[in-house]
Amino acid sequence: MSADTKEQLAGLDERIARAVGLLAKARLPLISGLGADVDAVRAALLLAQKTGAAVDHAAAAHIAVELRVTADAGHMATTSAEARNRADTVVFAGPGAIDFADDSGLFATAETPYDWRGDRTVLCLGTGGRVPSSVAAVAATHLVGGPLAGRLGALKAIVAGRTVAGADAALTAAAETLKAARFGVVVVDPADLDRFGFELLHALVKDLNDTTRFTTLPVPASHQGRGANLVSTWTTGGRLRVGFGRGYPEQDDWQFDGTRLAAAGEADVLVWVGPLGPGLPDYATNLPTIALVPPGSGATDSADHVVIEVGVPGVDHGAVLADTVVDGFSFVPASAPSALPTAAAILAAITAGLATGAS
Amino acid sequence: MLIRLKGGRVVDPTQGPSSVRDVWIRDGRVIEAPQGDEPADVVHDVSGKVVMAGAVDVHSHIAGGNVSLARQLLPELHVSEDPASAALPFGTARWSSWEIGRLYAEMGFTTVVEPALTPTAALHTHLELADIPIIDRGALTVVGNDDHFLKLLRDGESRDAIRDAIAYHLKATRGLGIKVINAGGPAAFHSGLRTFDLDDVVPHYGATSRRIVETLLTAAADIGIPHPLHLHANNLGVPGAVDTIKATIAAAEGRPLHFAHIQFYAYGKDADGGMTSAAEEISAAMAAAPNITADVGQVMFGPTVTISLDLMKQWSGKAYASPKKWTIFDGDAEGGGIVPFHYKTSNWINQLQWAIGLELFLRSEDPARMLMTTDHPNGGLFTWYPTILALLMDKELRDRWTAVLPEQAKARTGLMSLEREYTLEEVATMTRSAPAKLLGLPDRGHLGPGAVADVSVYDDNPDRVAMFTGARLVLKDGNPVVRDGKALGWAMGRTHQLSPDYDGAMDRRMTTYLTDRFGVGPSAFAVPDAAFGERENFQVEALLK
Repeated sequence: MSADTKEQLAGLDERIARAVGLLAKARLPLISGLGADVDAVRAALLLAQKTGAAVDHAAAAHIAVELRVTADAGHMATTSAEARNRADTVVFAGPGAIDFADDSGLFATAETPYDWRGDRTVLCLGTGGRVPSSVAAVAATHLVGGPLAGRLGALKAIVAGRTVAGADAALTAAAETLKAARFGVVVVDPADLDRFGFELLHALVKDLNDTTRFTTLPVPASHQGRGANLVSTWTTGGRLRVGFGRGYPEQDDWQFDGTRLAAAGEADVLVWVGPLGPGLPDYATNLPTIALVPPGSGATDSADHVVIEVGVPGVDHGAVLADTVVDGFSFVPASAPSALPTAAAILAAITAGLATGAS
Repeated sequence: MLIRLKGGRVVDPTQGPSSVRDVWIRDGRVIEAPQGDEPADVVHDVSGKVVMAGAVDVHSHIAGGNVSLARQLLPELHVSEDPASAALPFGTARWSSWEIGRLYAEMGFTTVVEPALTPTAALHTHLELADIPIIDRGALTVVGNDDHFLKLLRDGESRDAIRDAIAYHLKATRGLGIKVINAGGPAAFHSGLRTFDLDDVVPHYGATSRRIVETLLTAAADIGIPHPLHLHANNLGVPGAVDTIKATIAAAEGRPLHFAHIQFYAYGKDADGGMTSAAEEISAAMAAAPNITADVGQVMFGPTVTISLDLMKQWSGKAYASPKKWTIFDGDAEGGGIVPFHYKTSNWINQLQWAIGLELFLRSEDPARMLMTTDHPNGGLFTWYPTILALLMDKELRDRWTAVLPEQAKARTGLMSLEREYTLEEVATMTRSAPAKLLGLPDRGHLGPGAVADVSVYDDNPDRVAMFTGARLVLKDGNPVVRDGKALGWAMGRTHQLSPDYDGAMDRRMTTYLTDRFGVGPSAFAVPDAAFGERENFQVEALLK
């Protein structure tokens, strides 16, 4: 243990006590960020149940677009591995899909266990003229410009056999490409659409399944958004956002929006759980804050800003994280074990402090 | 610690006729009455009460990616409205893992098995199971539709290689048995097929559904898995599916085979193709095949959601989605289909499904071979169990329900003619000793010496719904966990698993395969102890050999 680490740990009890003090007098705590491992999210939800807190997550588009459409209309989706291995037609819908493909290299190999797949047909839709640079085994690439949601609407109409005023040849050809797929996948970043556009995309995909197989691959939510929402789903019965003011979980995307709660002055203390980022939100400046952040975050401790440095999951300590490769959870061992406490342990200590009335 | 359950009527046919006697427990296990006059440390006076072993459920979708997807699809189906007590955080959060454990325990259930443990979602499923309080859990590893297995068949691999591959999956995913879903059907759905029967061929692999089932029967026996192959057969919900069941029974050739939610296949068809009850035919076929067991998958009325890895069935079922939204997830092997459904008393087909389920219970010669499930939540929620038991135990109550059956349903079921009433002893067999034995949990489901001290105490209330809804007392490992129908706090149980050995070559082979397929090697399926922190979560059960 380094001298620095000893010093950090020495101040820990005092900081936890100050955190307990802030929460003990709070009317509506807000717990947010949650770029964190499964145990930290479990501990955060337990603290929320204990304190009647509102709980939000940093990955707003995941909640406001992707999960909202699931609840409104349902969806069709597949895994990264199936998209890579099985899809003979890959649609990149919007610029976020291009970034995801090129950053992850998901389609960078021609290899597949499905030896009948053949080369891929690529369709770039509403990507601002961009095509991915990393896709291997491409038989043909088609490009359809224009606004993504508008193009999706036109394609849905054409696929359904309706006449679309102003449909150009590229759009008509794109509809034929979709229908000709044996197993097509639309890669899309939910942040590139609002919930109506995202629902429209799924309506198109569902229609395509009347005659062939088609599905989607949503770009994974940032900051463990998928994992945090799943933990909430099994723990509280529903995804984030959720509030415990009445002693039981209430799910409401507007009511428990952290940015809104802070701006409206409803939340009077922020618990920011961010061992995997992001950094503190702007609204933390004006709100008493308990920040669970990794070393080097730049957050400064003061009377009503308690900063507790925690380990990074998968680096300082082993942790279960949402894994975008297998689209599930994976245990990630510590790559550089340290004595830094886990966010889960700090949250549990704060909850225990509230239970004993210590502050 | 010596515990005495004093003066209750012990209903446990494995230990002989029911009688008023004491049950003694030491250190979490049932023991013979101690010699001499050793005083008990704790005495529970259960005079006038019915004492049974804790109940066991072989098939209830309580955890995993598809269950959570269903929760996300249908927030309106489970709005919470009661504050949780300080001792039971999330205990009133509707459809949470915490509420599931509480409600099961309050009914006197102490072990429940999730039947769909998919390898890529194994850790997720086990994380959810580990957050289900009070009860013990287990899960069945889903096999038979994945590319790796189908290629073994296509390539004519040896019986040993297939045995080792299945053992690898079972051990890696920490399952308690194996299950196959519409064998080959989900794989065929990915390739565009929309129906799949026993002798249909999975495109690109050349294997029929029959061959998959036969191969898995052999592998299960070779590994020594105590639970028979758990089969979700082809043609679920299709009029005439009774023929599929009979053909599959024949294909088993006397080997142990368990049909999941067989009610959904006990459908004949009339001259016009309309659905009729085939419960009598199923019962006769099972009477002639003592190797076969089944759970019912009883339908009850009200809104629910169907959760299934049978993508093909869910694709066709989406036409009946209520409300009109649904989700299909193309997974790495099966995936999942989530389709909300409302079983309506005003719908004669739903009424007929309800009647067929009860027929299956009442026509079964052996309560040990026709187990109680609702295929939760597919036929209805598990919280219907007390009502189902009441219907089985009380012909008059059944008559009140069947009096309102529409004529189309009445004409197609023989339920009204069945006079049988289940006894408490038959209930104990069906919900305790038989499912525990079927799962390979020999120290559960009974109150003989050595049994785990999971005990349920009920009022002998003529209102059987009230009786079985809230147990007077439930002991888990000898400790009180429920009193007067209410959970006392969060004790945590274990997840039971098998851990078969296999040839080390399979480790290397699977590492190569999983690296090629996912890029991450064996961690794709891994469920390490470290994922559960300080929690002692797993308990390994014995194989048959």
